[in-house]
Amino acid sequence: MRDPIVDVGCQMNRRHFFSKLSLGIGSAALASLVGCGPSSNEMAAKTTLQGVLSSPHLTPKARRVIYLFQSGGPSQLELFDYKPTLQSMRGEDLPESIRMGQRLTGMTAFQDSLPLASSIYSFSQHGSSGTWMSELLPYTSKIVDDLCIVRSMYTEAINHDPAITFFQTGSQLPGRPSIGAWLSYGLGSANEDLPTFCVLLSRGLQRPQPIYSRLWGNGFLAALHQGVKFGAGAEPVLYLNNPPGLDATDRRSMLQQLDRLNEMHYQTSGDPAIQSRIAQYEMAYRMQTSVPDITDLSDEPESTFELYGEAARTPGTYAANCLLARRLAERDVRFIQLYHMGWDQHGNLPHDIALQCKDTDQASAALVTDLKQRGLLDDTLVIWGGEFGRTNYSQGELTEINYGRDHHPRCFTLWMAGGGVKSGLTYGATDEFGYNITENPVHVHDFQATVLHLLGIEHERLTYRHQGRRFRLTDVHGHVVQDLLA
Amino acid sequence: MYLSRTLGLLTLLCLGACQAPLDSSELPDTIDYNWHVKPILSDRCYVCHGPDDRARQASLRLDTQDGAYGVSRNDSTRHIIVPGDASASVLMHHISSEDPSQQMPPPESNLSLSQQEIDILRRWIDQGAVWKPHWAFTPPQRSELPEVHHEDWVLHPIDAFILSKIELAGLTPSKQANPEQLLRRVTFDLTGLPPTPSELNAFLADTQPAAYERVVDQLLSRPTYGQRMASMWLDIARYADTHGYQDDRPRTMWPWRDWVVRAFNENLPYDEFVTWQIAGDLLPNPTFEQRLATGFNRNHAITQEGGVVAQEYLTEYVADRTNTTGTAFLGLTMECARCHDHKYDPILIEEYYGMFAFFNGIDEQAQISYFDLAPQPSIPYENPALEAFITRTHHAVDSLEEVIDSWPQTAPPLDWTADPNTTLNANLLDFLPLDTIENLATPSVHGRHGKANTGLEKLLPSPKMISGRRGHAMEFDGENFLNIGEDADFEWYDRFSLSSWIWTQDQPKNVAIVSKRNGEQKRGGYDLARTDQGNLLLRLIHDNEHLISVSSTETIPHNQWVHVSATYDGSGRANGVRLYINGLRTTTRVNSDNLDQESILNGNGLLVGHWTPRNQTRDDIEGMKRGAVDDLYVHARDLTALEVAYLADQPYHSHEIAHYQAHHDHAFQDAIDALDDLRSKITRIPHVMIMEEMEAPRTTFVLDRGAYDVPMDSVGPSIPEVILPFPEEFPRNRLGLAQWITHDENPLTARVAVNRFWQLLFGAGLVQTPEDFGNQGALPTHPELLDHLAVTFIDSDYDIKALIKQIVMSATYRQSNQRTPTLNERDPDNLLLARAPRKRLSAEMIRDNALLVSGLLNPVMGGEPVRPYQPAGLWKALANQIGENRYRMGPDVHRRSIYTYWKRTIPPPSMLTFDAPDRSVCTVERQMTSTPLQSLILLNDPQYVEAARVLASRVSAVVGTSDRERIGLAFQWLTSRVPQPEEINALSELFTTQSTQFKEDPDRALQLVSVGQHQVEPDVQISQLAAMTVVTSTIMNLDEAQYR
Repeated sequence: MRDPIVDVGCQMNRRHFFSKLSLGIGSAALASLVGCGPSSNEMAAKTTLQGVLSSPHLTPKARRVIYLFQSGGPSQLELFDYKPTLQSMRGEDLPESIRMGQRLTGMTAFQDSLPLASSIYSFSQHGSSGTWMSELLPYTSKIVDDLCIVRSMYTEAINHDPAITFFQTGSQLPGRPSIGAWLSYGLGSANEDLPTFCVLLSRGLQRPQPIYSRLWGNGFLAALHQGVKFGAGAEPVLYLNNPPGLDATDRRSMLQQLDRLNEMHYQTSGDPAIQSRIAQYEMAYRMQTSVPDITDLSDEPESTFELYGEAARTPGTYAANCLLARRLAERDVRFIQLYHMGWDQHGNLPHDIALQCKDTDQASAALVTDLKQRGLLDDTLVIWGGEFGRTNYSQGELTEINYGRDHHPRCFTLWMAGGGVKSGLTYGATDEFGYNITENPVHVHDFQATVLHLLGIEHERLTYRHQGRRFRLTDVHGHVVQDLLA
Repeated sequence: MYLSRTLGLLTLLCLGACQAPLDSSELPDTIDYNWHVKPILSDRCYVCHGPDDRARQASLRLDTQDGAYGVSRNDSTRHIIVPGDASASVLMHHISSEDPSQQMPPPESNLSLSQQEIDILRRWIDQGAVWKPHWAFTPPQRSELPEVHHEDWVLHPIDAFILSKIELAGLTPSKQANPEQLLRRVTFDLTGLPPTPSELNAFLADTQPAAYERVVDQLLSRPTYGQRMASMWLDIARYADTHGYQDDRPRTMWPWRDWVVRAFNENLPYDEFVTWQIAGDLLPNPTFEQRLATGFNRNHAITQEGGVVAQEYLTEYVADRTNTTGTAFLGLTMECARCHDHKYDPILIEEYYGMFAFFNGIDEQAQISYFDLAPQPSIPYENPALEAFITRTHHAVDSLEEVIDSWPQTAPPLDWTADPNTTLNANLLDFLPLDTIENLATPSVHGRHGKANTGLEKLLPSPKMISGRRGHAMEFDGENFLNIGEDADFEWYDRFSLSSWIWTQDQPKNVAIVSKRNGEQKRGGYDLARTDQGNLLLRLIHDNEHLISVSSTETIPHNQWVHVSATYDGSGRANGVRLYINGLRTTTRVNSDNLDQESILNGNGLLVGHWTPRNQTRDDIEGMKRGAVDDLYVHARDLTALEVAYLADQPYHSHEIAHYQAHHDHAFQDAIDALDDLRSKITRIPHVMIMEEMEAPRTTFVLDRGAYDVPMDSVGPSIPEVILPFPEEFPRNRLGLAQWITHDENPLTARVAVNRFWQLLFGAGLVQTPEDFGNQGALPTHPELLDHLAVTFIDSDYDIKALIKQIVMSATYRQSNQRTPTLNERDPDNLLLARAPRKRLSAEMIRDNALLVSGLLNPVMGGEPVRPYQPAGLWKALANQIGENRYRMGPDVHRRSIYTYWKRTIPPPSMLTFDAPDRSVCTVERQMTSTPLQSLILLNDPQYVEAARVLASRVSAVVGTSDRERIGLAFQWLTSRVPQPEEINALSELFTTQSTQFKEDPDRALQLVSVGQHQVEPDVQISQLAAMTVVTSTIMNLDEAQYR
């Protein structure tokens, strides 16, 4: 019979080393130290980040996620949600029977009239699914049969900051972990050389709405669950490069001595945290090789750039980030979060949205196509969408060629592909004005619950206890949208 | 897991009930309600059967005696709990049922009870189901010191409480830590910095019994003590230097931060520390500091995002104050009662909004202006030293300007001739010949290339190449433009010049030639334009009211190449502007001369051919239609007339005095440099946010589900009565609230405070959930000790330094941190404290340590936040900055970390990686992790590479030492101990290898030692220094160097 205190101790230590200290490697070492748990070589050899879930709640359909976040709120009315009625009623005021007194932002709340604005871009049907798509998205139009398009997304927030925070953390207010951090916490990492949660940024228009590092923050979870931001410059991850003058050989000999000294200290002190620290240095060293390997595109054939577009050659563009996302997915990075800024078209919408589409359409479609060709789409969930939609009336003056649209949380469109979602599906519907949802509304928390479900997690069961209660990504809400599952 | 932790504790800690550790399947003989039962009921049952009226199922509540002992709703003959008879209790029926329709908790709740938990409940009921009030809601009591065997170990009452539990578990405490370990621990804990080798040697040499106490007293009296304590309080107070939303613009709260440091250093009693921060403004005849302290409740994020709904944000601000007050002072999760009654603790939603009402009475704005550094209510910072500094600076600027104005106009020596072709390279930021454009890009000869039409519709035509003044020139169409990027980021006190050839048509419009302006908001910046009257115009703009605007009285000829140039001398005055047409200085008209030393910084690109990248017309200025520009020069100084004439292909006077002074008179140049430096230091008394009641307070409503737009009943200020009733005589305002919080009978305040200081020193509190002293919180590991400390704290009139001193003087604190197999096995979490904890240094300590040991640390206290090294483009990748990207090298780069500019949406990444919170909300505990990103920072971040190198210089400069001794000294700086010979061997080996490497490749050595702004000392052997840098960096990366 085992000593109960030791049992308690084992649990505590596991908890410590899973959730507090490190990559979880410490747990094996520690477990053997205190004489409990499997201390086999098999366990000790594991140096990847382990999640709190020993196994998923459900059979996962997706092993990883690539989330193409379109920051600023892309207009569903120019891209996905075809509304002929707006054409016929163009310029007329939004009927009160449709608006129903719902709140507007301070930017249009005091506008004299709310003239309905139809898209100046035309729509047509594509694919064997006959999906309606805008002429702004010629490439995406070609892959509609691979997409699961949700036209009935809605959110609660009406301004960028709370709305993006809501999408990424399940709460409008700062302080909660982001989706990627939850997955890192729950599932751990699937690879040994790269962070499990990677973040890639790009921007369209010159001064887009900003984003915030809390969007890939760990909230109250341990810092090791933070997303790691990849940059476009000479140093793809902060502080990855050795200082000038110090080469890889120097670094290796230095780390060898460091290891030796840390090991000596461990022998006298017996603190398992030292073992964990040693492993962190090893991982850091591996990252110094693996990250540049990932970001070096010189091994990509010409056909890749034909697929993703020439812009994919320029680091930091959306196209380059889509390509990088595929490379990370190939190496089993679990959560790859892209942000493309610049969709906030309050004015000059016809001009500006065309530019945004030019930057994003080809590469988004290319990513899906590429994953499919490589057999990765089946277990990779690709998500494309922003934080809210845009109003069906014009912000500012409506002219023949120009108009703007304000934020609209009541309906917008998002698409997914691969990873266990139905393909060729268009789900949900909005009224003829594109103002309210008439069919199958999907709340942000429902979307989050569904994403977790696809990854094999029951959203109500992945929790973290903080400030006296169990927190989860979906707060106390959310339902898996079964209709979207393949 | 949670219960296991509690049970684990109990197995060790339950008082007298268990002599020996028990098998986990066995139960404690005596079941205690608070210890054993309530954690189960609270965690698994209260959600549906707890304090929240609206969520309650089956009308059953288990958080009150009445409810738990009451009759069953389904069967009025049966009771939920029948004391003494588990089998008759309805509760037992449900929790042991396997029928999903009967089973509690229901399967869909995802909650369940283990067999052991069910057995605990059964035994408790069988033993009479004795009910007790929640431990934290009854006032702390002083208890008798427990008896212990090893009385000689006890130095302080604290030790008796600790030792008695250690002995109950059959263990023994650890021996006292060796002096090195002890000094390192106490110095880091009390000042956030390491001991120096000389302090260490002095301590080792002092064998008197009072030596340690002297050190403690000395550390407590250091100003660095206040900085250390403040770094804890800034997390709790969610302090930041920015507003926290969207573009996350700066704010001025640093005077409040400096007050916190002072308050700790002056040992302001904790009750006053709390009272001032909650209600300093309501004290009779409040002092400036008392009003300043109320800034605590303005530290929350405030939005600047356009179009927000005001009431939504006003509600969030007040809610933030309410939640923070609950967490920081009371250890209560108030926010759980915002949408409904608290699920676990007896706090009603009405009481939440009662607390909310205390903070709802200030005249604040939901959406503040983009440039507001201290949104109302605010007050000017009263700081005599700053006032004196400002007066001094102004005087110095005035007198230096006088000196320069009256500089002797001595003719240059005869053998001197001006060479403008050479001098024009001085401070040249950009030179674009504008001769080619390909893929919208035009190359520069010096500075940045230009890129056309950035952010514009791609269909817009590129600027055209036409025949120019020299080679080609660039022609614009009124919509397109060239963007040179974020260069030429001039402030009002910067000298600059803009020069180019232009060709314009006759058109009655103001057109921009070169411009760097913010397209939105105040449209600040500067521009060089041709007016509708054909005059040359230079403007430096803060906003509509604050600008310099100077135009030429002469006109620019049309339809020909004309050279234009504008120079500005950084004086902040219109007479500092000179305008030239075709190389000749023109007379000017001053349209406006009231920039008033306000900022003109903005984050936009430098444009040619337009004033805004958005292609808009504003303030009657627009793009250059059918106009052309050639050979553009941007200088970061005011060109001399001679140089301008040269650029304009005009004859010039080669013996110009001004030119001689500017380029050859060193004394004159020194005076100019000094003036420029002084002008950049000109500042003004800032305003800082405070709390201040408005005349007619707002009415507070209970909000349905917490939503701002669903008000229900109105409520007045009130507090959760279960904690302590609100005394009648207290005013129902924030002052009354502060009095209630600091009331000696408030059961929470002192406990929460002493627990926090304990946590600061031991890494974990006696209550391991410092944010939650309610039903869901952890139970204290040593309840009597917690109460003993709380009562002593109250009796000492809340003397913080005295509290800290008694803890660090205890034998418990002074133990060795050595692990033993027995302790690892019996108490792996070190709950009994039979050894001292080994704690990783905090984010601030990691950095401050590197700065101190290298000698780089700049000890200046307080003032505006500073910007240490940060990876280029870090903020720009995420946000728009409006001129925030500027930082200057200088001693501020090496200040202590609490002074680092804290941009809330993009905090310093190396701090976050070492577990600092982002300060968006009140945080009372940091995690302590170890990650590969931390390793990369310590290995590669320039601030650590520089610190390692400067430490290497420091130890190398010790005369008469061997390399081994130098390595030993560096080791001692970084770990506070003398290394073992084998440790030195390893490092010496490394040193030898690296020396060889760097001798073979001296360029690499030079690169390595050149990282950072600190200059390499002259006469140093670079390869040796580089090798030693690798060694010191290795030591800095030791696990031990990151621990105390």
